[in-house]
Amino acid sequence: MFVNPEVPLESLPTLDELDWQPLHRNFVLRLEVRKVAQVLTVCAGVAGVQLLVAAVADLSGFSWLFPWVWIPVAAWIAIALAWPILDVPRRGYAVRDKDIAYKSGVLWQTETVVPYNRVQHAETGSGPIDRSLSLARLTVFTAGTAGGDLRIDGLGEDVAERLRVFIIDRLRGLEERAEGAAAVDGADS
Amino acid sequence: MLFFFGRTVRKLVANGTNVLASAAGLFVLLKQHVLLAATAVVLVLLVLAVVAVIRYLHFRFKVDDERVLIRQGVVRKTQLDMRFDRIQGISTEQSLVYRMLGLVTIRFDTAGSTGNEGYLPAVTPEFTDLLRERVDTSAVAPSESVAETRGAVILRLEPRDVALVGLTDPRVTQILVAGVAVLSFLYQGSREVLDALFNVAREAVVGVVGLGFLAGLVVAVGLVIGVVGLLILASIAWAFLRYHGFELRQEASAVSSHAGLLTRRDVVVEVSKIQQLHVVQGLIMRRLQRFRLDAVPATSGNAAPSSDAVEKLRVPLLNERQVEEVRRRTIADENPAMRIAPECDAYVAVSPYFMWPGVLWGGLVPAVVATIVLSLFWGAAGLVCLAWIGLSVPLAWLRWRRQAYLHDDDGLASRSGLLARRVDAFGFRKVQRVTVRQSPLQRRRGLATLSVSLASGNVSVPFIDHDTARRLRDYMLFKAEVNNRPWY
Repeated sequence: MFVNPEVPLESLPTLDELDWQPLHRNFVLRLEVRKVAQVLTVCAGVAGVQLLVAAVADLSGFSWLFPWVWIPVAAWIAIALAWPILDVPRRGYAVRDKDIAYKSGVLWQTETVVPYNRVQHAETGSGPIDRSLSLARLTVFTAGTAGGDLRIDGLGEDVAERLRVFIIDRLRGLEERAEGAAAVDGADS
Repeated sequence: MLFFFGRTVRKLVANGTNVLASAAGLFVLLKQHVLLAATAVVLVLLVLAVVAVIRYLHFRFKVDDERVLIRQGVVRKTQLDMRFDRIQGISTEQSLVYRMLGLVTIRFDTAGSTGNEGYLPAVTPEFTDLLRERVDTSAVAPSESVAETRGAVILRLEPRDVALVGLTDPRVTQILVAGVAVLSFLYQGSREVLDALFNVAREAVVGVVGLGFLAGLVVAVGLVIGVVGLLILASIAWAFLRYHGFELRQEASAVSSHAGLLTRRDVVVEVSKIQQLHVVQGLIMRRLQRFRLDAVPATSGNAAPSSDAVEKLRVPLLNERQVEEVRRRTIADENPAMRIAPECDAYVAVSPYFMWPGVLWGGLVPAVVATIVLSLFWGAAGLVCLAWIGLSVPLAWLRWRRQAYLHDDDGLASRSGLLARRVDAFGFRKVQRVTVRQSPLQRRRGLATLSVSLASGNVSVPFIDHDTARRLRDYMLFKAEVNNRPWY
């Protein structure tokens, strides 16, 4: 007999009481490396443009402007280098029985949840710098367009691998149960 | 076999039309050497025919109980392996040549992000039915209420309706707007060119007809009206090509559409595989109280949800009663009481703060930047750009008026649009990923944007209460997680 009792909305589990797991400690360092590379590129670019402009055009009247350009650049550098220290503590993931959640963002904050029974496959990956800091990222793919994926950067290598295996295990268990349910449905009708 | 013959003919015809154009050019070039040119054309055709034969010899397919295997390629060989239970739907296309030969082209739609979509050219309709049966049996068992009415016609479009489809095609308006924009750009950029064009046109008219300036103007206005009329006519002609004899039918566990004047297209979508319904109503449609409806199954590849690569089931014109009828037959299993018409009291408006980002990023910022840039060149005249801020406010207000959502126990519908109105409706069970997002403004006001990924694209409900967004998210997840029936 099929029963479908009503569920009081208040009793539904919410994400708010979740215990968000922080990312790996080295992830701040990893982001700082990336930021330093960006800062160096931008500095080289600004300096190059200034030299080029000074060489090509006679702007002796505007030459006082050149040092001032570096004020906004310096401000940007300060923010860029401080950003990972603000950013990383605000990221976190939570593994639940039926889904995996991830939150991130300093100004624009997002919380994303993917149920295991919608996952198509999961993969872990890491670049050379990631590996030297023993970091890895986990990507969980769902069906359809490319936008439906969940990507968690900056996990510990062992954590990412354990999570991947856990999710795949869950997926398999849920699929078997779904097949069982479909068989029962078929027998009913 | 018929299959082989049909394929060769198709290749020949397809390549032939390409060649004909260049052949015509060749004849013009080599007027003196007609014989030489003719030989060249025959030679090219021969080569194409040989290529076609070789390609078709390397095309093999196999169907067994579980899957379809398609193997093809001469130099780079590919093999496509599709399991029946992963096939979202089978669509067929019948071009004019195929119709004479009694053949169809099959296209398989599969979900997933690999972008591999299979197609089988030149097979008999009986074979298609066989394949459809296989897909049907591997699909989820249909509910009885749907199964009883096999092959029943849900709705049919008369020629008058098809003409209306052409008339209300948004592309007509888009082309007109683009044309006006290009003309005004020409007017701004190089007035001489336009003046010269206008003079030539006027002198031609005056010279030929021998009329005065006023009559010339009348002729010019007539010309514009003629161009618009021609566009509308072309649009109507296109509508007839695509939708002539449109029929929406109820199959065993699927809904199918059949339409087309020359090339007949059958689109079959399994009801259980429909992820979402779109209802769109443009300005003209609104006057006529008509809607357009799309039933979208899971998209394959990286195709954008709006692109035609996705074999969605489109009903180009229907009234409110028919919208309800189609909804009942497609997603009623999932959401028994869902309302999807854009006009409904049950819609909940989103927060008025929804207008702020529109005014800020769409109005204030571009206007200020444009003013600064243009003031450098034109001085005070650049201040004209500030008027854009005034214009962006009513636009943002219009968008806010359209933006609304409504939900019941099983699904959600989100309405949006500027002039046209569009409703995206889906069942909570089809959810793939849920995101709650807060911008700095939203955080201060306790608001959030709820964004839902489906296998057929994203639907978002912006600027609702943070608590509401979280409750909706938790409820959706609950619905998706307790139900063990496959979502596809």
